[in-house]
Amino acid sequence: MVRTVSGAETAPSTYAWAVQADGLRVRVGRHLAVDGLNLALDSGVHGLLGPNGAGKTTLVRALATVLRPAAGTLTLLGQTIHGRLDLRAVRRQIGYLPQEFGFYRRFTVREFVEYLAWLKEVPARDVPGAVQRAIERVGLTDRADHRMRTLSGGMLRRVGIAQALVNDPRILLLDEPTAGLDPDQRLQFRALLRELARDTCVLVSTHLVEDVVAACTDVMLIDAGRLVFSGVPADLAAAGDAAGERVGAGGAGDSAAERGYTAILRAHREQQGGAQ
Amino acid sequence: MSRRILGIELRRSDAARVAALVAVLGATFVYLGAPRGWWMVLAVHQRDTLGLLWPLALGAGAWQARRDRRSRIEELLSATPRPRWQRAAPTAVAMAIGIVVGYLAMSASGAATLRPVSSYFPATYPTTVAVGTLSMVAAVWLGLAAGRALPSALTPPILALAGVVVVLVVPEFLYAPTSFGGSGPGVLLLAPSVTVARGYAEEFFVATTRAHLIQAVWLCALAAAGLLAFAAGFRGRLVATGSVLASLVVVVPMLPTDLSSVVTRDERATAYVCTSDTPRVCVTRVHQAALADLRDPARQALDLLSARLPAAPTSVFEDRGAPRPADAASLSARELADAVIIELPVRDTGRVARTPEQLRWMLLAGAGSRPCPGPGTGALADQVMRHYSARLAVAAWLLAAAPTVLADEPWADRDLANDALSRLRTYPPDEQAARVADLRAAELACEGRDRLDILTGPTRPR
Repeated sequence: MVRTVSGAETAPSTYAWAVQADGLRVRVGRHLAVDGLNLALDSGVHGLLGPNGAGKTTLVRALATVLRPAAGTLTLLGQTIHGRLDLRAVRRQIGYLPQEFGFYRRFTVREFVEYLAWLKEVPARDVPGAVQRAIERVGLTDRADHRMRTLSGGMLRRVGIAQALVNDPRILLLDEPTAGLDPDQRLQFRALLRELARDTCVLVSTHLVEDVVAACTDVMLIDAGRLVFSGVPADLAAAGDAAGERVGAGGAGDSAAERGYTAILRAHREQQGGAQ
Repeated sequence: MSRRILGIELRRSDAARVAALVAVLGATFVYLGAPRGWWMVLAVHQRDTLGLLWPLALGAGAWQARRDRRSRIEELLSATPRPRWQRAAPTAVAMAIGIVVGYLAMSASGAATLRPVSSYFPATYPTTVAVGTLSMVAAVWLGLAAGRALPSALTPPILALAGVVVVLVVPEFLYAPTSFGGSGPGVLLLAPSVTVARGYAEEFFVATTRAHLIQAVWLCALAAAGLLAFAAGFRGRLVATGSVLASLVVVVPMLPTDLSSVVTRDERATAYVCTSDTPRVCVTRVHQAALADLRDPARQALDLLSARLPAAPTSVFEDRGAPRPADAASLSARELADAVIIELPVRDTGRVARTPEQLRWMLLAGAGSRPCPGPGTGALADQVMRHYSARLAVAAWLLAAAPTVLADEPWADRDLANDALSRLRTYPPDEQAARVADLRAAELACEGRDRLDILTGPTRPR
C-alpha cells in the first residue's frame, strides 16, 4: 500500500520516552484515583494490572488527555500536559479504546472507523486506506459494511481496537481490550499487539493476568493509585514461585503469574497496613 | 468540511427521517386544509402548517444532538483532536439539508395539487416559502443547541411542546382574522408561523417587504445563534446569545404596532379585468373566472336601475378591499356614484358562490349602493335592522318581487321590509322612484337619516 509519509513521522523523536509521569496525581471527583505515580514508557506492550478500583482506568484516561493531572507532571511525546496546552498535535498520535466503548448504532463498521479517522485528523487521502487496514488488522473485513448495531460484543470490541489503530498512533491506550473476545480472537489480538509493539507504545489495562504474560513486554501493577510492581512478566511469575515456597505468604491462583500477582498485592497491602 | 463525512451524516443521522416526516406531515396538513385556487391561499396555509412543523424541527434537532450522549461516545470523542465546531458542522449541515428538503417537498406537493384558478403568480409566494424554509433551519439548529446544552431524554418533547405554545397557541390567541387581511400585535411577526396576509381574502393581500425583512433578519439571527451554540464552545454560546439580542435591537424598532399595517393590497392581483363591451362589468384579476357568472346578472341589474332611477350607475365593479386593512374607505365617492360595487364571494374553483338570482338581489340592495355606515360601527341593533330592511325593500321594489333576506346582508328583517315595500307602493310612481333615489343618495353620501323614514316617512323628497 502506498501512503505519504509526513515530515513529522520521519523526524527523529526528540524525547526519551513516549509516556513519562512524575509524581502524577489525578483526581476523580474528590478522590485521588492516581496518587503519585512514576512511569516511563516507550515502544513495547505494557501491561497494566490491578484490582478493581486501583486507578487503572483513571490512569488510562489521563494518558488519553481526557482527564487533566491534578499534580505532578505528565509528558506525552515530549509535550508536558498542562491546562493551556493545545492538545491537538498530541491527540493526533494517540489511539484510545475506552473501557466503555460507545458507538453510533446506525453507522456501518467502515463508516464508523472512517468517522474516527476524520476526527483524528488523518489526512483525507490516507483515510480510505487506513480504514481498510485497521479493519483488516482486527479481522472484520467481512463485516465492514454491516451496521454497528448488528455486531456481537466481541466484534464491537474489535471495532473499538480498529478505531484506536486507524491513525497509526505512537501511543495506543487499550482499556480492557479483550473483554468479550473468544479464545481464538484473544490469540489473534495478542499477535497484533506483538506486531504493534515494534514502533508503538501500547498500554493495555486488564485484570486478566494471562493476557499480560502472553503478550506484554513488561508489566505494571498498581493498587490504590500507586505503582506497586514493575518488571517483565517473568518477574511476576518468579514472585509467584518464590511466594509458593514460603508457606503462608503464598498467593492464590492457577498459574505462577497469577500467584505472583496476588502475592505482590497482599505483601503490599500488609506493608501499607503495618505502616499505618 | 469533509464531503465524505457529510455523506455519512446524511445517511446515518436523523436528517433523512426528518425530511420524510416533515414532507409527509406537512403535505397531509396542507391536503386536509385543502388550500386551492390561489397561490397566496396556499402560501398562507403552508406557513400556518409551521405551527406544527416548527416545533417538530426543534424536537428533531434536540433528539439528534443527544446522539453522543445516547451512544455513550463522549469519552471517545473527548480524546480526539478535531475541534468541536468542525465535528459539529457536518451534523448541522446534514440536519439543515434534511429539513430544507422536507419543507420544500411539502411546498412542492402543495403547489402540485393547487389547481390555480388564475394565471397570476404572486412574487410573494416564493418569498413566503423562503422565509418558511429559513425558519425551519433556525428551528432545527436551535434544537441542536438545546439538545447539546441539556442532553436529557426529556429535552426533545419539552422543547417541541414549548415550540407549540410559542408558534401555535399564542398567535392563535392574539391573531384576529378580519374580513380583509388580519390584525394582531406586531410582535407576532417574530413567530415564524405568522404570515400577515391571513384572513378571508388572502388572494387580495400580501405582506409588505418590511414584514418579510423583519422575519428574515430575526430568523437568520436565530439560526446563527443555534448553530453557534451547537458548534462552538463557551465563547460561542456567549456570541450566540449576543447575536439574538443584537437582532432584537434591530428588529424590535421595525415591528409594526399592528399586523394590519404591514399588510397591503396586491395591486397586480386586484387589477380590474372588464368586459370589452358596455355596460362595463369588472372583476379582479385573481377572480377573472367569475366574470362570466357576474356579467349577465350585473347587466340585468343595471338595466333595472336605469329604467327606474335618474342618474343610475352605469357599471358594476367587484369590491377589492381597501389598500390597507387599516384604511377606512376603499372607494372614492365618485367611484361609488358611477358604479355598483359588489363584494363577490368566489369559490376556489374560480366561480361565483351565488346564483344569478342572489346576485341580482345583492346588486340591487339599496338601489345599487354600498351600505353606509357598515354594520358593526357602533350603530344600535335596531337601527342596523331598519337600515338593511330599507335596502332590502328597495331591491324588492326594483325586482318587483317579495323580499328575500340575503346571506350577504343578513341584518335585514323580512317583515319590516315587506311593510316598507307595501307602504312605498301606495305612493304615486314618481314619488316611489324619487324616494328610492333619495335612499340611494343618502347611502352614497353616508347621511345619518333613517333609511326606512326616507322610503315611508311623512316628508316627501324634493
